[in-house]
Order: sequence, then C-alpha cells, then structure tokens
Amino acid sequence: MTTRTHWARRVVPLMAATAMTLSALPISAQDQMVARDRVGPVDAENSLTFRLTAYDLYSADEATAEGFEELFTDFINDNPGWRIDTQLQTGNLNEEQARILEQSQAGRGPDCAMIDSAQLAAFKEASVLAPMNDFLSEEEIADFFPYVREGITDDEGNVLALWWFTDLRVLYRNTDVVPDAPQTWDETQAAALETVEAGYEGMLFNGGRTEGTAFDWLAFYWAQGGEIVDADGMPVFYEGENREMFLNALEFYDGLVESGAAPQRVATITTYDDITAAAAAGTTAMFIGGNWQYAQLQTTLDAEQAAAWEVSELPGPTADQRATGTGGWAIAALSDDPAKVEMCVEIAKLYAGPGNAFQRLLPTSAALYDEYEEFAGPEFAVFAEALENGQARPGVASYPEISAQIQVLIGEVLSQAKEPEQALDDAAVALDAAFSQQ
Amino acid sequence: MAPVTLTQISKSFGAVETVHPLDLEVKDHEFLVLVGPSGCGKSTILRMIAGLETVSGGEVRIGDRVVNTLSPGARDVAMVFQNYALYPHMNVARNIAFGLRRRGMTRAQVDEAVLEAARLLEIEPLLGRRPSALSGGQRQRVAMGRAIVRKPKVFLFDEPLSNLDAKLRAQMRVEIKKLHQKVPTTTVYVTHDQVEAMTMADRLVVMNNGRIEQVGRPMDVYAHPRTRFVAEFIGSPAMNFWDGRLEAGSKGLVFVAHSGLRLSVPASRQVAYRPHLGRPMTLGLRPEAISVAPDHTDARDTEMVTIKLVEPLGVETLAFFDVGGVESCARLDPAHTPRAGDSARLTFDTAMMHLIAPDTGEVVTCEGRATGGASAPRTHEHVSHQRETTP
Amino acid sequence: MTSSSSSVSADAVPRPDAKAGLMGQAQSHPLPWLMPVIVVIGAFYLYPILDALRLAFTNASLTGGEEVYSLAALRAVLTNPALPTVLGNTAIFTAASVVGQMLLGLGIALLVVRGERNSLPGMLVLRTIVLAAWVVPGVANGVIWSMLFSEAPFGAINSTLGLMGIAPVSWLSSPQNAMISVIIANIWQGTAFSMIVIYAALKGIDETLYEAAAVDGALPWERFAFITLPQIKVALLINAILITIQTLNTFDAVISLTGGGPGRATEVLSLFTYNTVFNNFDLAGGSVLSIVLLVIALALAGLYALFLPRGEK
Repeated sequence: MTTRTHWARRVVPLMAATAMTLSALPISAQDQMVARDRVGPVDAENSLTFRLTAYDLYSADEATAEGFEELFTDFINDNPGWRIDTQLQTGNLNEEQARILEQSQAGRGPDCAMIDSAQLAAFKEASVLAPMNDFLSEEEIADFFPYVREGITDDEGNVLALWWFTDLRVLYRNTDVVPDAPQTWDETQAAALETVEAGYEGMLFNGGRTEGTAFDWLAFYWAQGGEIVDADGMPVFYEGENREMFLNALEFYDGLVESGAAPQRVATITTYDDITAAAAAGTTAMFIGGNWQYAQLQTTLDAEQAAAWEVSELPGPTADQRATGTGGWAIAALSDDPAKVEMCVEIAKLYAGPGNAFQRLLPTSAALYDEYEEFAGPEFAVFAEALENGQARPGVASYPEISAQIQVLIGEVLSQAKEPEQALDDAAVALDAAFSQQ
Repeated sequence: MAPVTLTQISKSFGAVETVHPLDLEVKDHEFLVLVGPSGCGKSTILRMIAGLETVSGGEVRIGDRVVNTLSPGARDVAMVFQNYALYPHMNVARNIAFGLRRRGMTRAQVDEAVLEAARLLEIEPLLGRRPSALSGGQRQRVAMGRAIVRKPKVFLFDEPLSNLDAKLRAQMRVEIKKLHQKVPTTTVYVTHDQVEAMTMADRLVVMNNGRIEQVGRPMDVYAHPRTRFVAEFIGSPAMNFWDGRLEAGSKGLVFVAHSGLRLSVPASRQVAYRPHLGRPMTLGLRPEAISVAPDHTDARDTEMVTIKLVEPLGVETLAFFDVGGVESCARLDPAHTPRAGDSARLTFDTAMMHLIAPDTGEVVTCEGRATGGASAPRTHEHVSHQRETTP
Repeated sequence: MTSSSSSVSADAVPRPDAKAGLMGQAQSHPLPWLMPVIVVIGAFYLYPILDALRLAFTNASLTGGEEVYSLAALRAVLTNPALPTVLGNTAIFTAASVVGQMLLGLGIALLVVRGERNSLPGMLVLRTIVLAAWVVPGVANGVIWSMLFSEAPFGAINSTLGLMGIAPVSWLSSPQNAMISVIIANIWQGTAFSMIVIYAALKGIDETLYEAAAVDGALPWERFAFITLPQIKVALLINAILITIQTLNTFDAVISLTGGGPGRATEVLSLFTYNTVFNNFDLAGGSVLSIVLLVIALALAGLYALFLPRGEK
C-alpha cells in the first residue's frame, strides 16, 4: 500500500504538469514567432540557418531587441512557410568570422551569415559565397556607393554579399572648447593643445593593438593618395611615394603625442567605448571616432552637454586632402539552394532598409537616405559628405596581416619605442618576409 | 651535565590545566623516568624542559640557569623523539652533524665527533645512508647518535621505543642503559610502559592526571606504592584488589573480603592498621604473593578457588580465578600449576599485602616494616604539595 | 653491543609478491589494461599534436585553398623578424611570472600555515580570497587590471596616486611598464595555484622535524633552509613545471589587458600564435608556432625534471 501511495504522489503532479505543458504548447508557438534560436513557426516547411551578431535581434538593449522582433515578425508573416534558425556569434568577432569561414569550407557553415566588410575579401577568395545577382535589380546594384559595390562584387561581376550598413570615421569636438572644426593636421594639433591647456587630456584615438587603430589612422594616409597594396594584393605602402605619405601620416600621430596634444595613453586604447567613456566623463574635448558614437553620446549625455558635441570630416594634411575609412557589415549567402539564397537576400534587405532606419546605421546606397526620415538629422549631412571621400579597406586576403603590422608600428611610435622611420622599416621587413613565401 | 630543577611548574591550555603545579628535581647524572598513562602530562613536562612548550607557571632550571625563556637550542639539551624525527633529506652523517654545524664547529671537528658517536652506537656503516633506507632500530640508534654527539647537559627521551617491536624494544632498552653507563648524562625519559620505567630508571616518577603520584627508586615504588593508582599501574600482571573491611579476630586484625575470603593481618602491621578497624577498606596483593597451598591443608589465609584460565609463560604460569566477582591473578610455579577448570587451594601471603583507603585511594603506610628500610618514606619527598593535601 | 651489528644487517625490506592476483595479470599482459587510456590519450591529445605537426609542413590557411606540403611556413615563421622580440617577451613574462608566483605563493602559504599553527583567526578567509583570484577567468582578469591600470584621468590606480599627490604612471602605454603590468596581473591571478600546492606540501611536513631542529639549535632561517625547503622541493619543482606551462600558454589575460601592445611590447608566443591563426588566418604558421611552444614547454619541463629526485623515496 505504502509503495503505491508513494508512486501516486510522485507521478500525479508530473502528469498534470505534462498535460499543462502540452495544452500550452500550440499557444506559445503561435505567440512567440521569435525565440532564442529561431524566427518563425517551429513546423515551417522551409528553413535556413542565419548566423548573426548580438547587436540587433538579440541585443542586450531591450528597445533594440523589441524593435527587431517586430521587424522580424512582420518579415516572417510576409514569407509564410519559412523559419529562420538563428545562430548567435559570440563577442570575439575575429574568431567567429574565422569559424564561419572554416565551417563553410567543411560544408557545415550557416546558409546565411553576417560578415564583417573587412573580412569579405577572405570569404570571396575562399569561394564560399553564393552570387545574389538574381535577386537584386540593376538599379539596386547601381545605387550602392562605389567602394561598397567594389567590395561586394567579384571579377565576373557577381554580387557576393549585401553590404547593408557602412560606417566612417569623423572628428568629434566639444564646441564649448573647440568652436570651429579643425580642417588640417596642424589646426587639429593646435586645437588639441588648446583643450589640454583648458584642462582636458587632449585628443583621443585608438592606438592599441586593434583593427580600429590601423583603420582610423589609414584615413590620413589615404588623404594623401597613398596605396596600401598593388594590383596583385602585395603591400606597397613602404615603397616610393607611398613611403613619404605613410611617414607624414605617422608623424602627424607622433607629433600629437610628442607635443602633448594627445596623451600617451592612446597607445593603450583598443575600443571606441574607451573613448566614448572619456567623452562622457568630460575628460576629453576631441577625439577620432566612428559615426555610431554620435548617437551614443546623445543618449549618454544630458541634452545640453550632448548638444555641444559636433562632428566634422577628419582633417587632412591640407584642407582639401581628405579621406575616411569606411567599414560596416555585409550579409552573404553560403548556400547552394537558390531559395535559401533568396531568403538571405530578403533578410539582408530587411537590415539595409527598416533595420538601418531603426538603428540609425548608415545605409550603403544613396536612395535609402531619402527613403527614411530617420536620416534627416544634421549629422547625417556631415556623414554623407564625408562618405564622398570614403575608402574601404583593400579587399585582399593579406589585409589582416598588413593591418596587424600597422597596428604594431603605430603602437611603437605612440609609445615612443621607435621613430616612425624605424617602425616602418621593421614592418616592411616583416611583411616582405611574410609574403615572399607565397 | 647538570641537574634539572622544576619548581611549581604548571601548564594550561586555555582554562584546562594539563599539568598542575609540581616540583621535581633530576639529579646530575641521574636517569629519571616519567611514567604514566597517556594524557597524564609526562610528555608536556619533558617538552617544557626542552623548551618546545611554554611554561604556564613556575620555573625550569638547568644547572644554575633558569631557562624558562630560552629557546630550545639555547638550553643545551638533546632530545630523542618518538618518531625519531630524522631529517629525511640528509644522510645519517649529516643528521648527526646538524646540531654541531648549527653551533659553529669546524668541519673537521664535526666529522670527528660524528665518527666518535657513530662508533659508540655502532652505526658507522650507515653514515652514508638516508633515513628511509634504515630499519626502525637503526633509526632509533641514529636519533640517539644525534643526541649524544652534542654532549648536552641533559638528554630528553620522548617514548623513544614505542615504535619498535617487542624484541627490539627489549634490546634497545638495554642499549640505552649501557649508553647511560658510558655517558652518564642527566636523562629524563618519558614512557607509558611500566616495564621500561622499572628496568631503566634510577628513579621513576609515576604521573596521573597532571599530578605526580609517586617518586622513588623502581623497587621501592613497586614494593611500597603510595596510592592505589601506583599500585595498579606498576607491575604486570597488575595487583589484585579486593574490597572488604578490617575486623578484629581472635589473633588480631583480619581483613574480610566481600566474598568471604578472610586474610589475617601480619603482626608487624597490627598497630599501623588498627585505626582502620571496622572501616570498609581495599586489600591489594600482587600475583606473586599467591601460591598453591600444600595438598589438603586447611591452614590460615588459604582459599579454595576454581581456576578459570591458565597462561603458561615458561618461567612462570599465570592462573586466573574469581574472588567474589573480582577477576584475580596468581603467579605460580609452572611445576605445580592446576589446569583450567580445576579447583585449587591457594595460599595468600599477607606479609606482602597493601591496605588502601578506598575514599582517598591512599595506601596505609606502616613505618619500619618495609624491606627498603628507612629510605622508603624518604622517596616520597618530591611528591607535590597537592598530593599530600588531597583528601 | 654485539646485537647492534645484527640490526644493521637485518634490514631486508620485504617486497610484496609481484605476481599475485590482478596485479600479476596486469604485469604479464599490460596492453588490455592500458588500452582505454591509450585510446583516450591518442584521440584527444596525440592526434591534435600530430595534426599540428603535419599542418606545420603545409601551406594550410583558414581561408582554405589546396593544401600543399612545403617548408615555407616553417621558414617564414623562423625568419620572422618579430620572432626574437616575441620570444624575448615570452622569456621575460614567463620567468618573472613563475618566479613571482612561486615566491608570493610560498610567502602566503608560509603565512597561512604559521597562522593556522598559532590558530590565528582569518586564515580561511585569506586562503579563500587568494583562491578567488584564481577562479576569475583570464579575460576577466585582464579586464579588471585594465581598469586598475587605466591611464585615463579616472583610472583606478592613477587617480588614487593622484589623490596622494603622486604623478600618474604610464602603466600600459610605456613598453617596459606594460610588461611589468602584465606580469603583475598574471602573478596576481596565478599565485593562488602555487599557494595551494605549496600549502599542501607544507602541511605534509612532520612537525617534529622543526622541533628536532629547534632542539638542535637551528635558527628560524636555518629551519626554513634546511627543513622546509628540502621537504617541499619536489612540490616546488612540480609546481614550477605546471605554472611554467600554464604561463607559456597564457594569452587571454594579455589580450584583454594590452592586446600585446604597445607595439609588440607584451606580445608573448601564445598570443602571437593566436594572432597568426585568427588574425592572419595562417593555420600553417600557427601550427609551426604551437610546435615551437610545445618544444619550449617540453624542454623547460625536462630541465626541471632533472632536479626531481629519482629512484629513492
């Protein structure tokens, strides 16, 4: 008897719980189109895997996540019969990108994935991307900014990815301290020195071992017309005229630190967030940053302080020699199934249009700026103008190694460990050694 | 070499006093054994002499010097530990030399002293070995070598033989005694083994519960225990104890045990025991005071008993029997031993009896009777005041 | 004393019968008993190492392409002008970290053991605090220290120094200081491990050895030098092997603290390897570097092992 009571006591609640779960299941499945690992109904007949970063649908910021949940719910309602199995990329983006590439080559990759525009070249070279031309109109392709179109197209004219947003580097200044935007390097250094006299720590920029360091700084090299690689993708920045321009740009950074216009600690800055933090804390009045930091400052600072911050085009050696590094992310299809490729393109368009409008990320085609009223702010005028001088990173597989060498040599110069010329020569030797084997 | 004097020395751990204030003197060249059950405080006293334990109260003097606050190394004592405490990573020679090197002797002097000690202990062939390659007896010897090489004022032994097997223990007992004859350093030796205590001591100190029960020469303590505890602890097999009372018989005092056993008090003790007439008392009698009575005698101080168990030990045989529910033991001549289950008439030699007051546990003294003569009472002189005032 | 001569010679240590029971079976037919271990080690340890060795002689890249066997990767890595710098950094970082962790671990362990012996309160808390540092993941460790060492006006250490009127220190932006800072962060995290190993060894020392030494007149430092050190020698050596290998493999703390910078000032071999694979996608080069790392670790372990006592107990 006792054993039976025991049995009953344990099993009855269990059955009740199971019954409740079963009855609740269909409701929750309908209600929740967006789950942690999928978008769309569990029992959809078609599905594709989509590997995305944690900055939109699964953002830690609730408002962003909710906004994208709505976008995706509408999207899946417009595409009945489909389910998107979502796979989240972890914070270590470099490693994640390498993993996608490796998995795709082994045939285990996702059908559709977010790819850093800086890594597009590696993916293109590995021939794992499916052409999207069939699902894009001529006009849509033509409307991309030139550097974007170049980045996503291969030699045969296949569009291999949809570069859905771009970004660029600009000069930020607190207009209370620096009323007028410096146009040249000299003006910048002078203005920065004035902020130091006013008690600020000077101009900040990435100078540590991070991609941002090379990329932010390359704008000053590109402004003079410098080339990083030749037609074969071999590094040439330390040869001939390029060498002069490279050294000029290096000396601009070196001079900022040596004159005290920038603190030596820039050699330790490895994230834009470090810079935003300093700006929010009011310890700096000038910095080189990405366009997205504008919105961050607006939300972090109170309205009055936020209004003091303005952006301008990065300074050049002279006022009319300008450039800015442009990056951003692309969505590419890694599947052979045309239906999945089409879905991937549709997802990319979702991000490029309403997605960008929601996040205020910069679209990669001029038409979209007019289409959404979200891009009406005055800063977008500055961004749009600067984008005219936009420069993407060279689409060659050797870029990561080149960038690493540039990061190292900038670090050496900023930490006063080497003179610019010495640092450049050492980098040249290293790159020659690395590429002579290939 | 020097005497060791302990004056009102005590040790407490927090509120617990493990050694009550006591006085004790170890004479120059003397081999003094502290004996008692575990936890009686004997090791604590030894460690207080060594300086390994702080003194809670009183004074420790080695020679003329009060050493209470001196570090162990400065007291010029040497100690042999129960587990030998040989330095495992040093060979025998370095183990023995360690204390000398710390005292700043030259290498040549050290080598000579080590060799001399090794010769004395016959461990020369072992000098190059590590302790892990030695047997128990060899380790024991090395530990002693480490002690004697320093020619200290005092040797301290802390149960040095308890890790050895019986045979080796007997052998080492002899050797330690021989060594003391060759090198008569003042020695304090701690043991829980009454055989060691009896065989080795010049004088022994019986301890119980942090107090001294009795101090004296081994045979004096054996023959004239001052307390029931000492009577019971010293001697193996232990003394028999029977409860009963003193009654007046036709020929003087008679001890009547609860079992009905009647034993007459010898004439020499009548006076000493008379004050206890009519009181409940305990009679103590060693097994060797009991023997098999001649056939069919019905003499005084005999009793028919049933032998329950017999332990033949060769030179003697132990016979166990029951007296009023108390298991008792007799030490018999193997030639005339009953078998287990036999009935036998035993004679109880009351000349060797001890009368104990059960309430105090003290043995009733009988001046002048003892074989030890006049010296017997004097062996009690170092007993602490506490002992004497204990009710 | 004739009997003593017999005790000198009567010293035969009894040996257990080796051919009895299960032990006997295992000794005469060892393979079936070892098979499970061999399979596990082979699949999860040996295979990756052999594959890395194979990759080192290819042109393998994370970006794919046909794999061709060549010595190019080997040559490129060994002639890389950055390699001497990186190896130098690795040597300094490893040596300083190992020495620092051993000394600090030994110091804290001695303190804790001494404290426990005198039943001081708080010893468990001290041990727990030190252990807590060890439990922190390497990346988090780097982040914690980067906040402490931050040279921003609001950086933790520098602003504290500022309050005391001391000029800010360029913890991370000066190449020399950056190496010191990285070493400090690594020592802070790794000390607990050494402390626990040494603590266990110290607890295992027979207390009476110290008493014997005290009676022998050894001063405190002599007791440390002649009793403690020899008694924990094996633990120290094994600890040295373990933390050397661990330090050689450390890059998570470095990457989050300095990223290897400024320049290459704190780029250690493991980080260099990581960058080679995940930044440059150079799988072959990375494999060569990981083999180099393995060889260095093995060589150092072998070097330490020379000092381990052998054959005796």
